[in-house]
Formats: sequence, structure tokens, C-alpha cells
Amino acid sequence: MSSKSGINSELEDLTHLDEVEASILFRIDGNVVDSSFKEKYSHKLLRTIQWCKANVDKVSLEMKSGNLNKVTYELNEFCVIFYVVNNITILTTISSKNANLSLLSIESKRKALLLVNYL
Amino acid sequence: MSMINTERISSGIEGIDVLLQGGMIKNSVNSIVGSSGTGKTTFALAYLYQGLLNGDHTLYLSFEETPSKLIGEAEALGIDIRGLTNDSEDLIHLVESEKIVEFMTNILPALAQKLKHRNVKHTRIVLDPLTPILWEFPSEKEQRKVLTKIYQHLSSLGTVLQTIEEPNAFGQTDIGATETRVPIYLSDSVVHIQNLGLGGKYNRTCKIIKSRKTPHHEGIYPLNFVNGPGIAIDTSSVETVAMDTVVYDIRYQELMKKVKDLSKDKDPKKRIIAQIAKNLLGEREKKDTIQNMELVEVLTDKQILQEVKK
Ligand SMILES: Nc1ncnc2c1ncn2[C@@H]1O[C@H](COP(=O)(O)OP(=O)(O)OP(=O)(O)O)[C@@H](O)[C@H]1O
Ligand SMILES: [Mg+2]
Repeated sequence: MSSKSGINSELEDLTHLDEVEASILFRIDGNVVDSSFKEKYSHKLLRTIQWCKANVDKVSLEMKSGNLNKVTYELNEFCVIFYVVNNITILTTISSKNANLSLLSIESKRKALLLVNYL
Repeated sequence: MSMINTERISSGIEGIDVLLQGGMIKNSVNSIVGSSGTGKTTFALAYLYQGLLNGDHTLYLSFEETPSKLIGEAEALGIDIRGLTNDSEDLIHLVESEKIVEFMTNILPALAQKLKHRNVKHTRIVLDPLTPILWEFPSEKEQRKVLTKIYQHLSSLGTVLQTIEEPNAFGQTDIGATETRVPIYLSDSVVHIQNLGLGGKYNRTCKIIKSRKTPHHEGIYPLNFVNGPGIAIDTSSVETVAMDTVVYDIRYQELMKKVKDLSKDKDPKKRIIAQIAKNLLGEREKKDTIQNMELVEVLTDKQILQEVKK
């Protein structure tokens, strides 16, 4: 399996979870390595994705300086979990507001560990 | 309520007519703004093609690429310009950069006069891209003066579509940049297309920035390159409550076109689907657009196609 489709299928696994709207593997400069989204298109989700893209560099800097693996943001409409994959990539999971965040954090961690193998 | 009654022409791009409440206003100036490679030229070619379909007179001024290259690119996306006209090379005019000023200030007004005398009904004019003209007139004051004059001539002749390159510095695009301010200000409608690089349906998007005399939709919509129409905007997320009958009618026509395309598809199963859709639609009142729309959408759904194949 090529690394690209491998990454994509891991991300798809995440978006198959009911509460997950999008999962994106970002380079820490904001470039997208790969992404997976729920079928239905949503403007609000696009705004949140753009917010993630614009802020992933700052977030990752904060995480590095604080030695954190995971940061969670509760925004107006969505929750975002950033999980460090390696030095230069971060897994971003965007879920609905009422999602079970502790469960999703575990899932994100599990996926982050799997994704390292493709990078 | 003149906004609905204003005479409009189809843009030729699926979805744009929905967002502009019926298409572009006749004799208006319309802009497509986007950074390099976002699909501006493809947009313009689809607009030209629609004009050929409608029997409009067309005038495509290219300031960058040769006619044969443009026609080849259109063909690669399934926009069969050569199929509609005998003198396809005559359709697109390359204006070299050193002749731009001369062309815009002298030749074009004269040409406009000539066509008017010949009683041409409606002309579609494309300027692709406007950007080199802007470079010739660096001061905003001068740009405003020259462009106002050019637009006066052109819009008296027909409906103008111009493409404008959006500055892109270090991956950050800027629609409010000084380089593009004047033409955007002078346009009747502005469509902004972007390549967000997010992948999937959030990769390429389209947004109506302004649209005079038209209550337009505010959202950002997915844009796709598709074989045949060239570009399509997915407006399926446009909220039903915000839509009026005009929009339903356009949607209906688009869906009928889809059915027609399906009926010509190589895949016999798709042709059967088209036949089923036609039979079902035939028994309905044309007014019943909402239901018709749902029906065709269901019938053209990929998953259902798969089911039928099984
Ligand atoms: N089927 C396709 N799928 C995805 N992308 C496509 C497809 N066909 C064309 N493209 C993209 O569209 C681009 C060309 O679009 P077009 O020439 O209309 O853009 P443009 O905005 O006019 O660009 P330029 O700044 O070069 O004038 C190509 O660079 C290519 O990346
Ligand atoms: Mg172009």
C-alpha cells in the first residue's frame, strides 16, 4: 500500500466515527498532507478547518514549548483535537460540539501512532 | 422589484446561475478573481461555449495564451469548442502585450461601433486576464479612467466577463490588494475562486463577493473540474428556505441537462437510469420543481448507480 492511501484510510477511519466531521493531517506550517471529511458539505465546518490551517503553526509551537502531545479547543460549533504525530506533522480531529472528547482523544492518539509508520 | 425581471444570461457554469439568481445581467461587467491555476480561464471558456450554444456573437480577447492552446485546454476538459464552430481559431484573439494600450483605447471602441451598426443581437466579451492591462496603467486614478471607458464601450456591446489574477504572496492570497481594487470596484458582479489546499470537497471553492441588483447567496461552495462543462459549483448545500422559484427553475434545467448527458453515456446502465428519470419526470407538472429535483438527484446518485449495476 502506498503511504498516501495508507494515511488516507487511517484518516477515513476517524471520520467514520459518528461525531467526527473531519480529520486532517497537517504539516506544522499549515500545509495539508492528507484529509478526510464527512460526506455532507458544511460552510461552518469549512470555517473551522480554515481556522485550524491558519493556527496549526502557532499551536504546534506552543505544544513544543510546553512539551504537550495533545491540545483540545472547544469552539462555538466544533471541538478540535490536535495530536502530535512527529516533529513536523500534527493530526487534527474536528468533531461536533457534544462529542465524547476523552474517547476521541484516545482514538486520536491511536491513529497518531499508526500514522507515524507512513511518514 | 426589478432585480428578478432584469434580463439575464446563463453563465454556462453549473451552480453559478443558482448563486446569481438566474445568471449574469445582460450588458453587465463580471469578474472572476483567483490566484494562478484556480480555474479562471476554464470559467471563461465555459462562458464562451455557452454563448456559442445560445447563438451569441462572441469576442474572446486573450492577453496571455494563443487561441490554439486555449481551445486545446478547453477540449481536454470536454468543452468541445471546435464541435460548435467552423472557424474556432477565429473565435479567440491574442492581443500582444505591447499592443494592449493601442488595442484597448483605439481598436476596441472602433470595433464596438462597427458591431453595433451591424445590429448584432448579443455579444459575449471575454478579457482573459485583465491583469496585463492593469500593469499598463499603474496609478489607480488612471486605471479608473481607462477602465471606465473600456467598460462603457464593451457593456454597450454585450455582457463582459473578465478574469483577474489575485496576488499570491507566500501562499497568502489577498482579494483586497491594491492591484485588483479598481476593476473589482467597477464590476457589477465578482466571483472569487480559491484553491484552499484542504483536500476533498474543501479543496477548491467559489464565493460571490458582490452582485449588483441581485440578492445573492453568501456561502462558500465547492468547485470541481468536471469533464464536459469544465467547471461546476456544487450548490446542493444552498438552504431550501432561501431559494425562490427562479432558482428552482434553473436547478430543474440543470438537472434535465444532467439526465440528457446520462442518456448519451457510453454506460448502458446510466442510459437506463436516464430513461427511468425521464419517464418519472414526464408524468409531473413542470412546476413541481422541488420534487423533480429530489427525484433526479436520487436517480443520479453514485451509490444508487452502483446498486442498479448490481
Ligand atoms: N480535471 C482536473 N482536475 C483537477 N484540476 C484540474 C483539472 N483540469 C485542470 N485542472 C487545474 O486547473 C488549472 C488550469 O486552470 P485554468 O487555466 O482555468 O486556471 P487559471 O486560473 O486561468 O490559471 P492561470 O493563472 O494560469 O491563468 C490547471 O493548472 C490544473 O491544475
Ligand atoms: Mg488563465
